[in-house]
Amino acid sequence: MDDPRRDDGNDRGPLPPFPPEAGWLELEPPPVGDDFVGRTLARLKHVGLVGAGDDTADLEATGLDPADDDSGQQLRPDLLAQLRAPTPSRAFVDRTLARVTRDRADAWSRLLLRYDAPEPTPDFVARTLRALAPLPARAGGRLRRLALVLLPLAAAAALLLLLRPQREAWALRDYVATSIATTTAPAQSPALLSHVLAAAAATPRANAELPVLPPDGAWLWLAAAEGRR
Amino acid sequence: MTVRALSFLCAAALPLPARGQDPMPSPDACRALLGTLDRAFNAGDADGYLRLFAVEQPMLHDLHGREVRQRLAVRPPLRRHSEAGTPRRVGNHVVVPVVYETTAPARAGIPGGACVPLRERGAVVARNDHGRLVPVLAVALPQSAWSDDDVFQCPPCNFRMGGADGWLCVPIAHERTMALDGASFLLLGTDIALELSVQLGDNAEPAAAIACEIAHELAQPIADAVVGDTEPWQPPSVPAGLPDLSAARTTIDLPDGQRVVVHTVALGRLHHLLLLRGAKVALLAQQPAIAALLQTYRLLHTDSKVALQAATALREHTGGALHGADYQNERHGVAAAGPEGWHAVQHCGGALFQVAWTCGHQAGRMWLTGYAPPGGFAEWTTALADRFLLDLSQRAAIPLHNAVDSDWSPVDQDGVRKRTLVVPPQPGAAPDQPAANDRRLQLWLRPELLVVTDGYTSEAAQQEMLQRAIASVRRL
Repeated sequence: MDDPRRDDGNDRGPLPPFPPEAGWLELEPPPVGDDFVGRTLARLKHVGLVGAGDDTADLEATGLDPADDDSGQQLRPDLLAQLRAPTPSRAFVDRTLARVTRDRADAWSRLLLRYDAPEPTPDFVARTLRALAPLPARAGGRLRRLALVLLPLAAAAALLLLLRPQREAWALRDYVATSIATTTAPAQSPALLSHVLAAAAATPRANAELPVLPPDGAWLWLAAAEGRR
Repeated sequence: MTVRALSFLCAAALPLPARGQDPMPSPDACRALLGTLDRAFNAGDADGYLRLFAVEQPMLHDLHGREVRQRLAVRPPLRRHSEAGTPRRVGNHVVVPVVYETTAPARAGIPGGACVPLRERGAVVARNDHGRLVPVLAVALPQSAWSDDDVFQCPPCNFRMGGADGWLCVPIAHERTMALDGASFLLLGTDIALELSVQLGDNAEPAAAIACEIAHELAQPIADAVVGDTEPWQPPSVPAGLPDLSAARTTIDLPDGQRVVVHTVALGRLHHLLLLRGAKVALLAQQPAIAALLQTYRLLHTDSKVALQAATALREHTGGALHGADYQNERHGVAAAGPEGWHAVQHCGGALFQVAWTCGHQAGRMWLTGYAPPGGFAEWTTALADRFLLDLSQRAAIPLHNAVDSDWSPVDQDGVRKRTLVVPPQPGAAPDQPAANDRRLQLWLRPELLVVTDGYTSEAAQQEMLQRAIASVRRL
């Protein structure tokens, strides 16, 4: 069975340029195509979530005769003409638009948070370099050496490209999230300045001074609540 | 997803008693708002809880989110109950004071079966969204301080600030400030904040040097942060030309579009820091509101000597004073006789008090630091002190597992328990390094105060004197 995920995309021409992250929240929602329902059902059937006869089975489970199913029918024009949409209140449009916009922004934020790329660990880098080392001998000595130099560089460049925009976009929030351990009271301060001062206090000193960083009460309490020491 | 999110929003959005520009929500409406937040918390769904907020201050929402996620990760799950105080209005927002009580269910293996509840204070800020209360922000508040008029002042530190329209004053618990005192002013409806912090430097430094140093501390770990030139600054409500007063500011532009402006006023060793932060575009758009707040910053008196001001601030905040090498703190009821001939200096920031004694370049150090019970706790226990010491020693890379440990003494006639640890010299440490010497630590514990004393000396002849000094900590 063909994968219905492959049935689109090739005949839609060139893709628009990928927007910068700052513009993601402003993107228009994608248009819903005429074949959206059909393609969705096809995909669900493809992955086995919906069986071929599910529509009929569902209807029978409700106790109705499938022959009586008129959900696809339209109302007669004379019945339709009797219906009137209620007059919306003055604030209805603004309120609805505001909520939909906020909801879309939240949804985008949640989706984008999934793509928080982790920093490569030293172990990852070491394993990658080890894996690259035994390149096929037939590539030739010069080519192999060149590949060994270029591949890590390309990987590093790709990582930089992936990581840089995100770091920049969240610079201050990242700083506050990571500047000081959450076991300390200043880590919970609403003031950026407290984080700056605490980070400075936590820096090891030449005289080996114990840092003056009061403990966070909630952290100690949580440790006790979980029975940790 | 849309329907689900809307249902959460609808659940949080509660009708105000009457439509209008400035109706004060009823106590029932405030309780219902907190009830909605508590239900989401107790359901264990951090995302669902955080989605209830229409975020205005992303940095503060991150902090609250981290706290909520940390608590919801605990097993068995915690339960939270919030009590609303009397709401008040700031601009077009409503501020509801809250007392949170978080409880852990009874659990086998923990002495007593369960923890005492964690009691914390805070405030939930909500906005009137077409007649409904929508939470935008939750902030923590200290147990004692609360500014009903959004004015923050400290006569010993010689300043007063706040009361400008639309700005909420959030005092910061002392242990979180890393300063003598501190508060955040939030311009509700924007991501702009102006933070006020009072510092006591080791020396009298010009304001320009302090502003520049703080700007670089902040910018250093952030790639592509741009620190501007430090420039003189005249606080608008402070008379120009005051002797011994200098003021300066430095701007830092961050790659995420945020801007931070560090304003510094130096009065000898006493420094008033005013850190303004927010999106660059918002700062430009809100210039009149920012100017109105800066206009409220003033000195309470301009006729006293700067040296006296620093001493007054230190005495009023810490409650202690040095008499030669000896330290006495009447407020907290503790005294210590420092090593004879060593130079003593008081510090501030984070702890209740701190005194440092030094001998020569690296020949010897001794620190005496007093800590209040951790936020949310009424008193210290030996278990809390042990856990705290472990965290501190790990930060300073002091290997406590090698220490000769006296363990906790019984409670003496002064109600004090002590624990002493002697950490042997670390193998491989260069002779001129602190780790090449015995490190002596002492915990001195009363329910309301933990005093950590620690020190070392490379002079064999001074070992006994240092030991005596550490042992001299006593109840006053």
